[in-house]
Amino acid sequence: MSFIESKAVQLLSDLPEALLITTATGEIVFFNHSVAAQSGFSIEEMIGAHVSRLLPQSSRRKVDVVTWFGRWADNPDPEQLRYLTLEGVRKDGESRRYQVRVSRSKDGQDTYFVIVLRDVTEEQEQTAELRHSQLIANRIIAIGADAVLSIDTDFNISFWNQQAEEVFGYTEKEAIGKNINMLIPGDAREAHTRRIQTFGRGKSPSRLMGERGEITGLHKSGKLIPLEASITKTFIGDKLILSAQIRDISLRKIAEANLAEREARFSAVFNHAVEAIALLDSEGCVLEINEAAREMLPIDEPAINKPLWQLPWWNSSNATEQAESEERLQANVMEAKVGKVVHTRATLNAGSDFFELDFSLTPVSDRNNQVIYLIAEARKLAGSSS
Amino acid sequence: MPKIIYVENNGTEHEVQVANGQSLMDGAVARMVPGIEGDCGGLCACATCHIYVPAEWESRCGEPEELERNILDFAFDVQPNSRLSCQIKVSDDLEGMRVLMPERQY
Repeated sequence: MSFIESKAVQLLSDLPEALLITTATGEIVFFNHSVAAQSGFSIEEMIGAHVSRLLPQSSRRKVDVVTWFGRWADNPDPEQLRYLTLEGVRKDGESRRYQVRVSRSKDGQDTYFVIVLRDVTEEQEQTAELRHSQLIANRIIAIGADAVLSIDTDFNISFWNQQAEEVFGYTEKEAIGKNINMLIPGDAREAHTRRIQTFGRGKSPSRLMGERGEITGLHKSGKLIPLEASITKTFIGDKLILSAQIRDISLRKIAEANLAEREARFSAVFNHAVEAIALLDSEGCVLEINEAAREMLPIDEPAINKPLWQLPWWNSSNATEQAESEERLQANVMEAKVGKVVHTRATLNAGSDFFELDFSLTPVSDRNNQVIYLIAEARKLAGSSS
Repeated sequence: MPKIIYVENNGTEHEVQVANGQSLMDGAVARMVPGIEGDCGGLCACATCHIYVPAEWESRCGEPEELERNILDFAFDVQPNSRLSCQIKVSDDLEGMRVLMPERQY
């Protein structure tokens, strides 16, 4: 062996890369320090051993490694070399993953495989973990009730979830790559573009639903959709990605309109009733009084949330009478509270005048027969003014 | 679009509409079906989209090419009905097909 040759052998032995050389049938003829350290096998025990000793003996995985050394040496497909990793096993039984590079070397009639192994176990585990968290995040977005979409620097759609398809009517395939303007009514496009440009330049990383109020979107069918949106920005390098979570509020608006309509109908009846009516809670505190009640009572003092019997309406000039009147009314409330309809007479103090009232308390129960409201109704008896 | 039912090794089923011409792997990855990785993106170079094709669907999936058969060497728990899902193109013939997954892809 010449000086250079012996130097070369030394160099290969001390190479930081894990390197081994096998015969064409897989018998190890060279095993450097690095592969020994990586695998846990000593150089002495591996020289002469078959390379399959570095692989797990599993009936569930059957890579004919020597055949693959030949394939990789003769046709080093970069994609395969990048993605096909070989499962190896250390002497202590720990499983490792290797990227493999192979070249074929001829010495007369004999062929050898020169093999470099790169341990990518940790790299692969990290990638798998990252993918797993990405999968969880993506699945959460996929099942979310809101539409989620992203747009790139040119305002072209780059992400589109299933709910976005429901809200806007476009499939993922139809939406990806298209300009966001497709989802904005024509007359609002310019203003929308300006708004997102301002947001892109601004200091705030996100703007939440409600901060900007209702917006209007354009469905594939041409229908306008009332929406609320939260938007957040991310820079990848110097490229701005804007992502939005968008909620279709059509149903909510219908529900709100229905509620307002029912409220208006209730007020119409309540406030236009001829009789004075007060809605009380089950303890007798005033929740609402109607117009007729207000008119009947000249006192402006707020009545809401006060017990009915403590209102100044029942004032009397005489302290004893006053106490009696309050007690009587409180007793009436207690009767109604347990479910009894109370029908009585009361005297109302209207400033200088006193009125005799036909007064009733009607309990209102819920489905479980619990009294939840009391309705107090009063009507002036004719000629009762004194 | 044909409906494909991807069945994870733990029995969880994912019903996905896959466009004609897309591969079974593309369909699974696009809808975030766990258990099919598709590391190489469909180049038949990684064996991380390994599936089992139930007997009644085998003939409709066509025969695997030599490269696919070779790459399957790297898959875990290979069976006679093992295929790489990136090599099976979806068509109306596969409507309702069940795709079974191995315990792991690495």
